[in-house]
Amino acid sequence: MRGLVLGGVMAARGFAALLITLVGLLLVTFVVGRVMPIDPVVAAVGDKASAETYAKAREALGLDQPVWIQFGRYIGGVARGDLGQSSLSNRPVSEDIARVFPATVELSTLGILVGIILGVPLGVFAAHRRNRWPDQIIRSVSLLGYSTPVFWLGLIGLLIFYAQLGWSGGPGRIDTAYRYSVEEWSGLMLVDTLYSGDWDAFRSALSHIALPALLLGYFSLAYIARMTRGFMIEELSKEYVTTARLKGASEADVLWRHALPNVLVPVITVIALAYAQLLEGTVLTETVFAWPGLGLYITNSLFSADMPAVLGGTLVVGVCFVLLNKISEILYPILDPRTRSR
Amino acid sequence: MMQPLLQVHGLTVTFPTPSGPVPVVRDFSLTMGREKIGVVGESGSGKSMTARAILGLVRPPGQVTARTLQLEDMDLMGLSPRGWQALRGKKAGMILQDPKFSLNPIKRIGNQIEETLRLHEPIRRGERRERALAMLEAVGIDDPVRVYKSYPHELSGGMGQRAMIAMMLVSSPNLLIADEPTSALDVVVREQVLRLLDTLVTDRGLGLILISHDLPMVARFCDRILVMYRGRVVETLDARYLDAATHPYTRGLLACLPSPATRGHMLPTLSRDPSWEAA
Repeated sequence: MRGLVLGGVMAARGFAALLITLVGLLLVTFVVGRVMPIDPVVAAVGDKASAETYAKAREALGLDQPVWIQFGRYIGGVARGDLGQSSLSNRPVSEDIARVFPATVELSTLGILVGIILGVPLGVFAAHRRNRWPDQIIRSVSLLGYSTPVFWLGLIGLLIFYAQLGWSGGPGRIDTAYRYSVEEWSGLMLVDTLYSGDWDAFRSALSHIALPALLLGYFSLAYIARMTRGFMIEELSKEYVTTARLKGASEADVLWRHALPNVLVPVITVIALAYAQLLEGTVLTETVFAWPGLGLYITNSLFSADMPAVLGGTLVVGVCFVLLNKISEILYPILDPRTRSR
Repeated sequence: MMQPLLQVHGLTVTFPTPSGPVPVVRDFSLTMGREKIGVVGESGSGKSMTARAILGLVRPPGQVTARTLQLEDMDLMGLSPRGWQALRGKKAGMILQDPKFSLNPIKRIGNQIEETLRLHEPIRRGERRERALAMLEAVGIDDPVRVYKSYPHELSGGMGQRAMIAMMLVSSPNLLIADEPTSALDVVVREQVLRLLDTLVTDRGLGLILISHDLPMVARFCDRILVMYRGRVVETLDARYLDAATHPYTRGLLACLPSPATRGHMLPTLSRDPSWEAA
C-alpha cells in the first residue's frame, strides 16, 4: 500500500511533465501538417471551387491567421475537448475517434493479453533451457513472428480459417446480421454483446476478433518472449540465484519466485511498449481484416488531407504512449523496493 | 568408529573448451568430521568449484566425477534433483562471498530466512517468524525486528553477511561451507563476522569448510588446512604448525607475507615451478 501511495505522488508530480510532452507532440504534428504540400482548403471545398469560395473556406478554417495563432487556437480547442471538424466525415473529430478507438482498444488488448500470457512463460522457459532444443524452437518461432509481414500472415490466416475451415468469422467486427441489433454501450463489441445478454452476437463477435487478435498476439509474443528470455538469462547468472538453490529451492522456484520477480520491471516496460504499438493502430492488420480502428482512420484521413482528423488521431496515440509509460512508472516501486524513494 | 561427516575421494570437475576438456579440480580428497577445515589457494585454484561440486551446484556443461562423495550416510553421486533440494539448506549450507549479490534484492530479509524453513520444515507461519527472528538474534543482530523487515539494500555489508549466515543455519545443517565469507567486507567487520562464524560453528558442533586466500586468517580459525594449486591439493597442514609446510608453493606463499622481521626489505614474489602441478 505504501508503494501505491508513493506511486500516486509520483504520478501527480509527473502530470506537468505529461502536459508538456503532449503539447510538444501536438506542436510537431501541427507543424508537419502545415508544411505538408497538401492544401486543406482544397481538401474541404474541392479543386473546382471558385476563388471566392476558396477564400471564405480558408477564413472559416482559420488558415488566414499566422501559424502560431492557429496553433494556439487548436490547443485551446483541445483543452475544451474540441479536436476540430473532420473534412472527410464532416463530423467532429472527437466523435469519429470515439467511434473507431474502442475497436482498436478491444483488438489490441486481446492481442497484448495473448502476448503476455504466452510470451512471458515462453521467454522464461527458453532462458531455463538456454541453447537446448526448446530454446531453439521458441527462438525460431519468435524470429518468425518478428520477421513475417503481417498482411501476408493475415491473408493466409483468413484463407485457411475463414475461407477453408470456416472457423473464423472473417473480416469486420461482427456478422452483418447483428451489426445494428447490438446496443452500443462501451464501444467494445465483446463487452456490449455480453452486456445485452445476446450470446449469439457475442459468439459472432468472438469469432471475428479471434483471428486478428491471435495474429497481433503472436507479434507481441515474439517481442515479449525474446526480451524476457534475455532478461532472465542475465538474472539467472546472478549470485542470489545460487543462494536460492543453496537453500534447497527447486528450479521452478528459482525461475518463478526468484528470477522472474526480479525482471518484472524491464518486462513491464517491454509490455507497455508492445501494447502502445498495438494501440497506435496496426494499419496493415486493420486493413486486412477490415477492422474499423484508429490505424485505418488515421491512414484514410492522411490520404484525404484531413488534417484535423490526423492531428486528433496522433494526439490519442500520443496520450496512449505517455499514459502507458506513466502506468509502468507507477508499477516500478511496487515491483522493486530499490526504486522506492524515501 | 564414528562415521565421518563428509567423505570425498578423487573429486574432479572438468569444463569442455574448444581445445578439449579442462579440469579445474583434480583428484580432490577430504575426509572430515565436525571440525574446521581451511582451503586456501589463489584465484582460479579451484577452491570455489570444489565447494560447489560438493553441494551439487556445478551446472552443465561442467562435469563432476568422484570415487566417493558422501555426506554422513548419504551417497551424493547420482543424487536426483529432488534429493539435492532436500539436502541443500537442511543438511548442508554455504555462505557466499558478497551479500550485495547473494541476497535476493526484492525480498525482505525475514522472508528470505523463512524460505529455508518453508522448504524443509512443515511448520506454521507464526513459528517460522519466531525461528527467523531468533536466528537473526543468534547471528548477533541487535534489532532483529527491523532487519527482518528490511530489504537487502537497506543493510550494511556486515549485516547482510550475518543475514546470509542466518539463512544457511536456520534449518540446522551439519556442514557449513563458507566461500570467502569476509573478502567483501571491510577489515573491522571482517573480524566480527569471522568470530561470529567461529562461535556458531563451535557451539553448534558443525563441520566447517572455510575457503579463503588468506592463509594466516585461515590458520587462526581452522584445525586443518588444505593448500590448493591449479585444481590440486598440494599440501595438507595442521594449522598449529604452519611453519612445518614443506611444499615449495606453501613456503613461497608464507614467505610473501609481511612481518616485523622482514621490515624494510622488499617482499619476495612467488616464482612458480611446473613440477608443483605434478605433486
